[in-house]
Amino acid sequence: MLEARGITKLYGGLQAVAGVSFSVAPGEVLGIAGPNGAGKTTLFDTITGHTIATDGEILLAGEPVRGTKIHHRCRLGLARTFQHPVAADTLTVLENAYLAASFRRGRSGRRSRPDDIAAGRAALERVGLEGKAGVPAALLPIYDRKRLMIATALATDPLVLLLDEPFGGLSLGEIDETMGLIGRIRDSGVAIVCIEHVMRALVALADRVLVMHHGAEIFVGTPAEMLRDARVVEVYLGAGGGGSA
Amino acid sequence: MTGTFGAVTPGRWAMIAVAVALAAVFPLVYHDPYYMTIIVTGEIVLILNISWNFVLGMAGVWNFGQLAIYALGAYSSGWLMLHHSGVPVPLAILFGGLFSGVVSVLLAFPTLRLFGIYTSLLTFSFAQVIQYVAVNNPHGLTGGSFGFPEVPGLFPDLGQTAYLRAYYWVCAGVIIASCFAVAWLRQSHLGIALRSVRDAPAYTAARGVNPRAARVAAFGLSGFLAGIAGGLYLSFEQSFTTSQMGLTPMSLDVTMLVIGGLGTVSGPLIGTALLTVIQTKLINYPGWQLTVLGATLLVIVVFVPGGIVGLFGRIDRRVRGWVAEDADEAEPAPG
Ligand SMILES: Nc1ncnc2c1ncn2[C@@H]1O[C@H](COP(=O)(O)OP(=O)(O)OP(=O)(O)O)[C@@H](O)[C@H]1O
Ligand SMILES: [Mg+2]
Repeated sequence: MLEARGITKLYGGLQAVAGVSFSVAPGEVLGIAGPNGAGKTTLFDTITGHTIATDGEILLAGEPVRGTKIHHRCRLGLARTFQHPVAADTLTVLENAYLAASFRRGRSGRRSRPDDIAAGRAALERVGLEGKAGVPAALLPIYDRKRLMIATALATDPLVLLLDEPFGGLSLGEIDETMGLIGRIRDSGVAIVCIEHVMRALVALADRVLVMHHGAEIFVGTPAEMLRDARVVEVYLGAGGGGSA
Repeated sequence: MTGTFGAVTPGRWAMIAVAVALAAVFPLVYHDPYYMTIIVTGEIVLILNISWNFVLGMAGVWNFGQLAIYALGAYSSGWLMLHHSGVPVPLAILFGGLFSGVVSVLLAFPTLRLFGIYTSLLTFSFAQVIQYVAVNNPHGLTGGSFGFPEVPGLFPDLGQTAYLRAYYWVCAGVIIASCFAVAWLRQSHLGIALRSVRDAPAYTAARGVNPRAARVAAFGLSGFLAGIAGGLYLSFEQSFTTSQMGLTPMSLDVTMLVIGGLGTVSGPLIGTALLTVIQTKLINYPGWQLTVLGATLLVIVVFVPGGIVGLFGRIDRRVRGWVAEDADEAEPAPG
């Protein structure tokens, strides 16, 4: 569904991403781990178009998209969340979801406001935010903001969902709920790529894990293999833990 | 029933109706030509401010070229009034609006490639270039700093009182129509997309919105209304000088917007009315005009960042409780 080949991103002399390749299929979760500054977010940025990859190829549902605009990739079925929870703060929760739904994949012909609002509402229900439809996004606590970001991503009816640290800053109970949510999204047939420091969640959710270090991929395999891999252990312990386990 | 965000409550409709009725009968009971002239000029400034607020406040683009766009509306409609006297004056003003709208769209393309301070620098330079060209009066098109030649105007046959009254009503009509248009646009698909791009550009693009397309549309609409204001000013004052697009009116207009509340529908109304009154009171103390202007701006920016509309909104919310208010104002009607 999504295939990345040899993605490289240079910032000046710095190789933020150095020749990373992966692919992810519908209904699969690919985990991405790595210490701070490993290039995980930058990899997402190249895939979504927030920055243009210096080299490499990106195929979304078979179509090459490197060099195309962010909104174009979204309409093809690529959605992402951001590491720092972000939404249109002065819009209400429902307005945020409605706007995303109005650009959902495969929406044909003229825009219909009632249909788009209904699609936005349905996305809010999937994450459990329907009760806060009228609240301005700025007033949401962090867990709700993170759920809103996932809801607006779902509202675009994505084929591929990129999640950048969906568990960061959440309580244990919220982490469990979010794991359940991501599992349901996967079961609906979406291909998911999930950056995460919370190893417990990554091990439980991911079918495969790709570990990055200094921009390069140092490991690809199952979560169980990852926990036994000497280099991964060294990178994580050597880098001072690289985040909460 | 579905599909309306921020529907206007019956109470607010009643307030709007009363305000419109009061505004409509006002010139029937008030005739002072000196103050009526100031009021009509204030109305035209208000139209300009509504247009600027759309691109500055709602679209969130720091465009400082708006007064040049306004001037181009005056010059282009004036050109038609002078050299093609067969064209009715309202059509000439409309032409000025269209001309300004097109120029504003053209200005949008280079502007939207830039970010932050560079947006302001480019649009400001654009305004400076237009003003410089206009001062040099190419082919007699602008009248330079002496002012545009006398034009027929909308009501050449009316006496002073009736003339002022007629212009007052025309401008009031344009103001009311633009307020409704802006209120409607704000909740339209375009308006929601514009506000989302303003709040979180990278996020909004990742949800399928083409930020540049939305903002180009905002430049076009905003430029159109600014051009209408320019044409109205020229036809009302029978003159338009290059100082109309200078730094002084620009800072006055920005202050009006910030004081009223950027990005809101009623902000320009409140800011323009308040500062017009203050500036008129201080007209014999030109030194104080600028001092008071600067001091007011400072106080608002530091203590009331949302402007007066934001302040009222906060007090209002504190009284009613924000949850209840947001629920009845922002939720679409079920059904
Ligand atoms: N716009 C930019 N310009 C220059 N360097 C950048 C830019 N964005 C990121 N970098 C650098 O690229 C490297 C990778 O950063 P990135 O944010 O992708 O890491 P990450 O793996 O997501 O880290 P974290 O776990 O802290 O989120 C870092 O060294 C960072 O400083
Ligand atoms: Mg990151």
